[in-house]
Amino acid sequence: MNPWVVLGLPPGADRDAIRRAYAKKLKGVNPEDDPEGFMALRAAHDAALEQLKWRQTWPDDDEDAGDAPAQPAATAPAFAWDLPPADVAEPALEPVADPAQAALEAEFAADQADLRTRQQALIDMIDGRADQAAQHGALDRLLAAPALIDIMARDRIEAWVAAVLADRLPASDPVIIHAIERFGWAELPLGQRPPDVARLLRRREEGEFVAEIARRHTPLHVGYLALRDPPGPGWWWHLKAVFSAEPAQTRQILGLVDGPLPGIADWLNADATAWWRTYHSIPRLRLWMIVTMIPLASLLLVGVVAAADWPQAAQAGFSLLVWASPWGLLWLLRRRLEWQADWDRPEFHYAAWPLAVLALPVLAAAWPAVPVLTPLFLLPLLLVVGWTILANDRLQPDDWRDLVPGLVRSQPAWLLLALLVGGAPASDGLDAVRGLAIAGCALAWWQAGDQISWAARRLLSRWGERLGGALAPWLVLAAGGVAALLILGLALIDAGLVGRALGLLALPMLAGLVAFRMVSGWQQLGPLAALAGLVLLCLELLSWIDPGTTGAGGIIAGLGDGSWLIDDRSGLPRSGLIFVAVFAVTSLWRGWRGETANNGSWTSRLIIIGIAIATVVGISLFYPASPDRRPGRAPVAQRGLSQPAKPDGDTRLWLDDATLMPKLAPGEYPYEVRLVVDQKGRVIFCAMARSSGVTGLDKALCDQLKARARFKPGLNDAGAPMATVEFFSGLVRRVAPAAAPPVPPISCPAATGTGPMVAEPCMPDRWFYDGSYPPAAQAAGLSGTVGYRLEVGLDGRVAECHIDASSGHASLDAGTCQLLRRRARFVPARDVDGSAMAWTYRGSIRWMLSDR
Amino acid sequence: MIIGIDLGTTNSAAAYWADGAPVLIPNRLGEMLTPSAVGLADDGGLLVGRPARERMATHAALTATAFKRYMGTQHRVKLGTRDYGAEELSAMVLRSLKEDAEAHLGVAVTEAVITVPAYFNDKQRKATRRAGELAGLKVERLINEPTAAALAYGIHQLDGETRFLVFDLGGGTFDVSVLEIFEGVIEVRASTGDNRLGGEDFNEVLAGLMAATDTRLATAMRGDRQMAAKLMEAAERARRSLTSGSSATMALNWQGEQYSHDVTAEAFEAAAQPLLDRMRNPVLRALRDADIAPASLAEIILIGGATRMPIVRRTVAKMFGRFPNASINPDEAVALGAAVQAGLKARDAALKEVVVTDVCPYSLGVNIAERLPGGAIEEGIFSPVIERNTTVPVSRVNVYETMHANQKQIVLGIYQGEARRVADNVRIGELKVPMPRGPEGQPVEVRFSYDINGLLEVDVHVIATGDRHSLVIADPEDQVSPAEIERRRAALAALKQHPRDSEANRAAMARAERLWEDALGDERDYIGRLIQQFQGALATQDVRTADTARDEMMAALDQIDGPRWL
Repeated sequence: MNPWVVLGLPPGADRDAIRRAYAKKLKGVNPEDDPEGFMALRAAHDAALEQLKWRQTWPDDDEDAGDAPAQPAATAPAFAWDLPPADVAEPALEPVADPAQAALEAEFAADQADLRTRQQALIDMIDGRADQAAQHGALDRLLAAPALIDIMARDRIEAWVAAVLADRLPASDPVIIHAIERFGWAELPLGQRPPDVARLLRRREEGEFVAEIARRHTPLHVGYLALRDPPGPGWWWHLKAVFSAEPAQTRQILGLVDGPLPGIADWLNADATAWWRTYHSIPRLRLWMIVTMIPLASLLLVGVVAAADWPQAAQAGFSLLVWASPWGLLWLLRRRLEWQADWDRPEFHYAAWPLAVLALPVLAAAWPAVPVLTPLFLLPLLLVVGWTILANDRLQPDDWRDLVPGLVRSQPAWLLLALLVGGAPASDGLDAVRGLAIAGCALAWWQAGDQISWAARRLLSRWGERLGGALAPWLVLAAGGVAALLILGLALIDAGLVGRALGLLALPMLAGLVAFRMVSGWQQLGPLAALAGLVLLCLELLSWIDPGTTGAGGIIAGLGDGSWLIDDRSGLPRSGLIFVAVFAVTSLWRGWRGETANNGSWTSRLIIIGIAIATVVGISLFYPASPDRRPGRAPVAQRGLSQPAKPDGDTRLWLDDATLMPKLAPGEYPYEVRLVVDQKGRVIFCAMARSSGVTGLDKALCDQLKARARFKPGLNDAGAPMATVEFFSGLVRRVAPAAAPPVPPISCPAATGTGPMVAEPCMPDRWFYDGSYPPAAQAAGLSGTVGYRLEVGLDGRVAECHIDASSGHASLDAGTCQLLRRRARFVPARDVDGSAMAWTYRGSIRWMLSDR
Repeated sequence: MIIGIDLGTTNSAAAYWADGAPVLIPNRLGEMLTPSAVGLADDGGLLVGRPARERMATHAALTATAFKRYMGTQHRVKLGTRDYGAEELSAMVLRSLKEDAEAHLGVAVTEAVITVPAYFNDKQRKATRRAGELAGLKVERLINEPTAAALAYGIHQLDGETRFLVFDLGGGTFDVSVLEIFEGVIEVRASTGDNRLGGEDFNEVLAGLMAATDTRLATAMRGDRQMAAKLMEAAERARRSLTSGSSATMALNWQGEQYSHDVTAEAFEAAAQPLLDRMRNPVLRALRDADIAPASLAEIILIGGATRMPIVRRTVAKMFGRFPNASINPDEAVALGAAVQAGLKARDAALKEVVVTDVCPYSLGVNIAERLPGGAIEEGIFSPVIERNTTVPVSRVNVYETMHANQKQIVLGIYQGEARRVADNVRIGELKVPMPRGPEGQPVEVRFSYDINGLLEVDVHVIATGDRHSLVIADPEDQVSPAEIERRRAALAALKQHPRDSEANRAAMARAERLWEDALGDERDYIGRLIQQFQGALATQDVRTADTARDEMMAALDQIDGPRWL
């Protein structure tokens, strides 16, 4: 729309012409009747005046003015901000005869001097860095000056105050907010703010921002502390940076300093700021790389340890190295890898990990043998928590198409699942059911996590505002308690001490944990360290209660032997590898989608992916899976001098069926184990390729095989012995004992005669019968002859049983006496008077086990 | 016939356009101003105007005043057994004015132009419009009070080209408007104001001065409605006395004790200084928004009863370095201006060549969130769509975008005000717009249309789907159906009303009773005798006897009370 056409004027007409044309046209489009027409006319009028203003401000640009010559910039702004008040002439008051007017003028003159002293007082206060109250007072006194009742003077003083305050900024901080309120500067539309006022408003914003982040539990508080305090020892600061949100938050704050809020720097420590700027200027490894490196490096190194036949001390030392290695890697990679764009706190998935933990009982129910609380589980759980807190994921899943990237993105949750599944299905025919359950859980927690996070944030944000300050320490304690109870609950589930249902107690506590997360925001990994400590403590306690579980010491001790590498049932390497695999897929996916925000450059991504693939391949080669799991894989062709390993000796002797697990319930337990055999033919590693289904039995099988199995080592192409992986399968059978034969009754004839007599054994052939073999001895396969001596009491029963000739087996001897005490009967001995008397009886029994 | 009505905080007035000039309509008591007071008589009948105002001090529980301050809110005033909203109370005043106009003009009055403070927001304007409907008036236009006052002044200056400033300090609101007249166009260039500043605030200052002298008064003032009303009335009288004198005595009789306090003009001015200071910013802002220097203003026009105060005039004179124009009756200008608008509306021949344009005095906008550098989100930021002091009617469009991928809906909070954070502005509505799925940055067009009555319409156009949504304000009061209005109107009509001709007697009686309560000793006996005489005259049922007796009594009361000010 050309405004000049609407107004019917040549372009470049002056203000009066525009106004007249507007007034004339207005009669035709009265806003009462024709709002549309009026709006069009008004828009043309405004546009024409705007063009006029531009033309006056920039006369040189006036090329299309045509015949209307540009006017010189005659109209000064109505309000001159830049005039210092001393230079300003008094408003020109017409000299009139009116005495009232004259009195008014006189008053003006008198007030003027007073105004100057008040102005000076304000400057003195500011320059003297007086406190807030004093500066406020000076400003208030200035504004109360009688001279300022004049609207023009007031206007000028406003500009003057803005200039003075902006000029003396750090010193004038205390009075800024007061001045903004007094003058109503905040209400000026953006376009009408003079530079000084804009500066002061920005200063207020900066001050408010700093006040905000100076409050505890606010999003950038950690970064603020890091920038506020002078830097400490370099190593300590580097270490802190690795474990906290400081790098991300300081980066964000420094971004604001460089961008919209430069004045924040006044509140920050210059040395700390410089330190962090240097820190950020060096390409740096990100936390996700660290958490990826830990399991990766551990896997690689543990594999080496497991393969090499090193002395115990060396292994212990090496396991230490395993745990130290990530830091070495970190140090190396820090110089190589690029530090990528910022991440901020995740908006979603706060609830995902507690929900993921919630899924544990479900999964445990679906798969009773899942070792929920294993060392392998705990380490990644901590990583998951850390990751989740630091993850950057803004996706709000809403569509099935988001499902795949969404699932891939929610790595922490997936990871947990992967850990639980452990790598492969079992062989109980319920794979499909279990798969559905797992998928359902994943989807449920993924969706519900978002929803709960949102709802809880909304609900709790106000509540948190109110309580955040005073209750924060208690909330931290409460969260620690909840976490402890949660872990204990899980431990109980796993141990089966109290039953799985008890673990459900953890559910309400989880809700509390989520709430706490929403309210306070864990800014640091400090609480995570506390959580890790709690976990270990709980484990240790649990191992005292139930010696069957592994305590913290056991976990640490077990780190070196590699037994946590491989899933007991599937024989596949698990968790760490799945971690890597998920990460690799994620990286590829996001790279393909062109999202570089979170996963580093292509170089770093390729390095990670390369390591991941190499690790998976390496471990798979190192610990080949059972053939029936990998049907497509052809046996390795054998050439040259190579030979497979062979069992050495009778394999039937490797296992002592009787001692495997005495209390095993009757039934058949097929099993398959995978054995890593070293160059000397000894088993150095044993894991179940197919579980017998009883944890204790699996363990006993492996223990016996490790102790007793011997192989002729396999030979490589060069004919040298090499380590191999062997499979060994079998069946443990337990038969329910046949129904016990009837216990023959024993009866004694009545005593006859009157004279003295010796004690007469009653039916001694029935004292021992088929089935009375002492059970402990029978279970142990013991036999032998027992000579015994019985002291017969007055009532004909056995008062005491002694062993005269031991069979050599205490259990057999004891069992014999026990039986005799129960069953031996006598006609009591009599003395000459015919009254009963004690007697001693000797005998022996030979116990024999049939071949049956 | 369209009449113009000034529905004020303290006083209301009506006027009509006749023969090229606005004319005020006297009420049943023959006065131009009708106090904006509603009360219940002892017999349950309805009292409006002066009879009710007189009873404020004696029957505070049965009387409501200054209810305009609650317009557009859910605040309800309890009168006797029922409670009333500000709309209903205003409707009673409007109905009384309508009846007076009908009696005066002899024709049925069904349409009106009603004035509202420029700073009234959408809700308050709608409530005012509903009050008119409840009173049986079709509200043709809502017009801003300073604009009306300017019309009353400007209608005589149409030929020249002039700029002037209207300084309107009413009972409860303060408005400043800068106008320009050229070529028969009366253009409001800017309107600003403070809707919490008015004569009542000055009364409170005086009441505070008196209460500060006695702790019993101070505590009673806070807790006792009756006492507070008495004190405020004493303050009002003192303020009026200070208009002419240099000191005044505030006196009141409460619980059998006489309290008295002398206040000087200097003390009053010192105490009122914070209020006077508050006038400066709106003036400055109006001049800036209008881009007009004070020196180029032809006149400063004072409107509103409170501008009679010398301290206010003095402040204005100092502000501009000259004396303001006081040629206009500050109480009547707004009603006269409304009548001019009524004339414009009725296409009166004398006003054919006159066009008035007004502005929207405050910024209107929506609640948005911004992503800060670094990715954090700052919520609750005010994004103006219509900037303040834009000439109306106006329609503006802004485009906003979704913040998140697959955002399900946009909740547009609609706000009025100037602060950067919406929390400090006035929320006037909310609109929920469902959004199609898609990546972040889905655009919506938000159109604000502000019509000539100051009523806002919000339209949202979702570009991706072509869906359009219009504002549905969640306030249930805004969805009052015509049937509901009819029902409420019937309920108001059912209130018992006294015959029009008895109103003067009732007002006189109320005044005498109030004075009797205030007086002590001999004076009280004297007033008692006056009341007895007057009641005797009323008992004769003879109109002329009663009128004479009333006039006599009023004259006697004037001597005790000073001139009437209500």
